[in-house]
Amino acid sequence: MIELDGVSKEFVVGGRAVRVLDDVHLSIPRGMIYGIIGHSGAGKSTLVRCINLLERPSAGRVVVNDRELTALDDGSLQRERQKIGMVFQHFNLLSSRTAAENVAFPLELAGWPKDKRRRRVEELLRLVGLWELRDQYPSRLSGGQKQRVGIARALAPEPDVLLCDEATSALDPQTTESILELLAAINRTFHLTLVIITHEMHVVTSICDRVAVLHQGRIVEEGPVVDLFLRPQNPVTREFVRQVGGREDPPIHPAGEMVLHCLFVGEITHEPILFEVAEEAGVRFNILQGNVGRMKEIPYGRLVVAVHGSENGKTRAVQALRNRGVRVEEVKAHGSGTLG
Amino acid sequence: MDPGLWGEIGQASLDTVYMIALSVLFSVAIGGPVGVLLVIAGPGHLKPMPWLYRAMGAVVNILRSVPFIILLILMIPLTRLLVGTSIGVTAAVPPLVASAAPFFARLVETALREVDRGVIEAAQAMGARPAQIIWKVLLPEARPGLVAGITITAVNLIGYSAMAGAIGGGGLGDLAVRYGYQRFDTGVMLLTTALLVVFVQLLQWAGDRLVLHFSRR
Ligand SMILES: Nc1ncnc2c1ncn2[C@@H]1O[C@H](COP(=O)(O)OP(=O)(O)O)[C@@H](O)[C@H]1O
Ligand SMILES: [Mg+2]
Repeated sequence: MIELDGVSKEFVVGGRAVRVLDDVHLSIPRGMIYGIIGHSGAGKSTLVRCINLLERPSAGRVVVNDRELTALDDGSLQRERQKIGMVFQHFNLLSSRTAAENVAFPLELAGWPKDKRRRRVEELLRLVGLWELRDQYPSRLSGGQKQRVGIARALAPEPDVLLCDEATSALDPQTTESILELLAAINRTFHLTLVIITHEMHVVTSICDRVAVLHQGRIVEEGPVVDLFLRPQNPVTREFVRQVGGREDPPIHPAGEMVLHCLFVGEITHEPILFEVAEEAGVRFNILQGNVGRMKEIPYGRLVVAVHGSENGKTRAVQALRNRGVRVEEVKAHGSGTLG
Repeated sequence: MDPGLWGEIGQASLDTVYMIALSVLFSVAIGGPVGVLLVIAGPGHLKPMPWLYRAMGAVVNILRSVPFIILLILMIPLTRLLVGTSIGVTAAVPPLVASAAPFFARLVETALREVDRGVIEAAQAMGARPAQIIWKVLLPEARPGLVAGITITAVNLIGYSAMAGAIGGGGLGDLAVRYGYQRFDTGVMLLTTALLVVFVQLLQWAGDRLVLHFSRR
């Protein structure tokens, strides 16, 4: 359980106070994968650094696992931090230590005895699939391998919370995928709370349960990923949703033709809905564009279709699609708008 | 050359090695911690201590700007206090340290500043105490730079020790001056100089090997 209560952060730059975080309220339940998305400079890193107090908030309270971190002295804070793992964009491994020694590092800090340390390191390196490379120095590892070491290191002292600041932003798409899978598996296996900081919507849709959108130091929207995906309210959220094809520019089509943007979420993605509706309403669909994806475990499909048939049939088709739970929007030839 | 001279050269070589070893030891022991403090007490680092930071920086700068030959003379009272005499090989050590320690401190400072801030931050995020960060992060991560710094300091000390020796100290520099300069014995002067060159080469070679060993990682 992580609670941020009215957290603000100001930096003094050239004698002027710059407000980087503005009255942030967040409540992250135990065991959840929580995304925080925002553009570069939005304040994401500052926010996540306020959770483990690498950065002390100018105002507000930070509570992690019922301990108010903002009220602790340095010594107690250092002990609490061992229960909060952190994974970094640029891995931040010790170059003078091998993979295994890097994973052992936080255990040395926490004073684990040597043989207990060795067992834990082996367990973790096997978990992240790097046991064979245990004696390699970071300079010999690929980006993905370094991040696996980084994750193993963060998990070593058995934390309750894992903070990931752009953990996949320095990796290629394929490696990103495998690291996200690893993080999701860790969440399932150890019921760890994960905070995922990112500027990429696909990271949020692939593993997060809930998401907060940060813009200029403020949370402009927050909720379950599916809800934000389907009903983005804030322009910034809409923009991020567009990144994953939730809504794209309409394909070129003749003026006067009815074109629908259909969003299928959940089980209906697998049903022959278009076929059924075509029969029922006496219309024909012509698929112009489409893609399918997955929000964590929830499948979704997006189709842009042209509808051919009588005016009456078209109206019934739209109604029939909506009745089946499809989100339908009419795409106008110039710009787009929503049907009634 | 007469056999007695060989003995003298041998003794002078040992004296030089002794002077260098002792001076390197004390320079590292004093300059090292000062270098660490110059880093961590700096603005925005582990333990910002603006007052100490500025005071130490000033002392280091002053010591480094005094010409060595002046330092030798200025240090005489302190040297007497520390080793009981102001002449001889041991008496050469305090001025050598006074000159090399601040130099080494700056080298340590530079090496430690090279350590990636992200790595320090990662250690802080894991709950490392400042002392743990110094011993387990800063110093090990900067090891190649630190070893290179010790090598440079030692090589510099060889040059300075020749000068210190010349002022009644002893060692190879003293020998070179006594025979070469005062008695016009060019042979001895060249021989002792050659020996100093060999010392420098050996030190540099060993230092470079160590740096390479640590930075292969
Ligand atoms: N230590 C600091 N001092 C001054 N300004 C800072 C500091 N850290 C971050 N900032 C500023 O705060 C803003 C947000 O930074 P950051 O949290 O890193 O954003 P993000 O991670 O979303 O890209 C940026 O404008 C950045 O320049
Ligand atoms: Mg950032």
